Amino acid sequence: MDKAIPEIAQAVWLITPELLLLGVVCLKFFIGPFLVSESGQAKPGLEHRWGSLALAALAGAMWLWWDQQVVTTPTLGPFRLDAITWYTRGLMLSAGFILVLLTWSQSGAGVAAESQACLLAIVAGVNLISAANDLAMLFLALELVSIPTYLYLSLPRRDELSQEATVKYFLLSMFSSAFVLYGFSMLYGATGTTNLTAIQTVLASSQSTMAPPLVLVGVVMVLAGLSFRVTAVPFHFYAPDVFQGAPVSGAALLSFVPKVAGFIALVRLLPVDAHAASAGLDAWTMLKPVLWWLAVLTMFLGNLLALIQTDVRRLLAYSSIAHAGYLLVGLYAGHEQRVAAPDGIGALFFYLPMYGLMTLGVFAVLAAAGSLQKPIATFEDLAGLSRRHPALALALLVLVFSLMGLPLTGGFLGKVHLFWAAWNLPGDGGQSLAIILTINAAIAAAYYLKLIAAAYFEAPAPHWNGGAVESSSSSVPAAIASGLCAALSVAMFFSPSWVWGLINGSF
Amino acid sequence: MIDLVAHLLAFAVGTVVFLSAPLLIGYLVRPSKPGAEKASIYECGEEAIGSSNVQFDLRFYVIALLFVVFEVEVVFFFPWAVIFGTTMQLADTRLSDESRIALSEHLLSEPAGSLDLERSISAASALQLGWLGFADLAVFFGVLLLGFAYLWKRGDLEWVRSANPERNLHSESLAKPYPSTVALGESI
Repeated sequence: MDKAIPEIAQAVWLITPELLLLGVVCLKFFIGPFLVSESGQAKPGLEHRWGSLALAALAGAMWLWWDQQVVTTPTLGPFRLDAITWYTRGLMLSAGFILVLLTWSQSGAGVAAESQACLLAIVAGVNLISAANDLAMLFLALELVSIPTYLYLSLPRRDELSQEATVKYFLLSMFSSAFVLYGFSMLYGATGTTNLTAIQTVLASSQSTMAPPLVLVGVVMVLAGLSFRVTAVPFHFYAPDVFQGAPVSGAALLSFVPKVAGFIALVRLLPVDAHAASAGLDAWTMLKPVLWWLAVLTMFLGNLLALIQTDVRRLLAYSSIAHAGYLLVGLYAGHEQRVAAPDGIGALFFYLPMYGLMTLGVFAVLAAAGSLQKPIATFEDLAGLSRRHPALALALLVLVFSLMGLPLTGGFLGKVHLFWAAWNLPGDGGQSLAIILTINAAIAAAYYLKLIAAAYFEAPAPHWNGGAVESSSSSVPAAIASGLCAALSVAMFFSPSWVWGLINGSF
Repeated sequence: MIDLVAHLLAFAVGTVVFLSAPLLIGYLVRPSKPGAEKASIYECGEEAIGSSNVQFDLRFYVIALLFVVFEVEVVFFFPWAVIFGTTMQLADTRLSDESRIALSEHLLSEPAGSLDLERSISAASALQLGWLGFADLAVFFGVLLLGFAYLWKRGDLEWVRSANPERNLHSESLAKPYPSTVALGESI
């Protein structure tokens, strides 16, 4: 006990970046209401101050993150700081910069403080998911992502569509949280501890060759609950409606952040290392067919339904479902020491930032080309973008090519790594999955090209001609974000070693 | 184990029997005279008016939520206070060895007599744990107060003002009036 108390007390130094972010969140919620009038109106320009403060907070957290030393010894404290934690932190803090820019242009002065505060809380929540070393802490971190997300979706707009989207997400997210919690209680019941390190030790030292049924039921429950977050079929129903109704910044957040949260939590909880534990090995062999079908269904359903969409945001929702399928291929491949690097988890970790750049970038283009009250909804709204905003159209071109997985973009490398990780697996399952991945990438090209065709080869719709949407000052941050994403997508193709350095530094 | 299961089974069977026996006896003995008066709703002697499916004012929910926040806070405070008290007793260096062992067993939920002085909690560790617990609770309470201040400043605690339509954020962008703008007379 005399050893455990200092370990618990020292754990706080493992999460200093998150503490800084949450401190700024408190500051924003405290000062925010004093700067708006009784009717909720604020002086225009206030959003610039809150946006700058959020950027400063992220920069400070980044500085703290860079200074941190990875601790490899297993601990019984509530947090850990291993390679995965370190990498996720870097990924989320970088994505945070782009999301702050998007929020900047999508939330009016009256709600800027709350929107940016919720965003920082979400970033801190994802980081804590990767740092959690305890089931209770993991669940709290998952909720620290979910609950600010409800607010974040509802704050910018108060129309009927937005409210419907928020309520739908709220109810289904609660439902999935209940599944996760139920699974956690099973794991606790089977092992008698909530500490993740201790659970692994208990399972590894179990005498039987079969995984206990309680563990299997628990793991399947957790998989179902987290599949909701990563929008894997059949837990994807909410995505198109929510993406369509929510403001563009909310849709962008939903297309990326819950996926990172879900996949990091899955990597933490599933016995992805096939050689680790005897009991874990059995659970893993039993889970593999489930993951295989999840990946195949998610890829096919996402891509085929995206083909028939007429609303750009619904199309992107199905595209994000399809990408969840690609990421599941990486999870299926898992850690495999028999093949040459990169293995499935490495490919998954490489694909996450690539996917983040392209999806956040496309939504940033939509945010910059439309406005909060009149978002880009249909292909007609997108028509003639190359004439209205040539730079935005170019960014869209690069980002959509990255989503398609064409060379000269980071998306190509991401898909190639996932393909080889699956192809090199022993057995037929991996190779068939790799082939299905290729087929789906080809199907996806059809609907992504529709976006390009609308932006480049169609005349602008009449109602966009009258200069109704001039590039206002509020769309500048979103335009910067889209340019940044497009440039980085290309840069990642030429120097992927930069991301690999971060990942391998972590493995 | 068998003993425990037998106990539980006996209680379960007993519950079912003792509940169903009076109902069965009543069913056999009582006269059957159904009527409209008997089938009507009984509400403490009051005449029932209209349907119970009416829209409640949203402000009730806001107040209920606030109440839950403070209630949950107290629920969190009680177990913390119990452990904090024991920890503070352990942090006292003048504590006798026997009491230290007994208190450690109590705090760690170990059976009596299972710990010796070596494995019990030392005064220095207890002091550290106490400070940690105090800081934890200060942060928890601070965040809670922050939420309270936010609500207070936004005027969500004022009953009449929250019925004012001008309270809405973005009143210019509203497609429909926000549900909390129901006039006072319209809802229960």
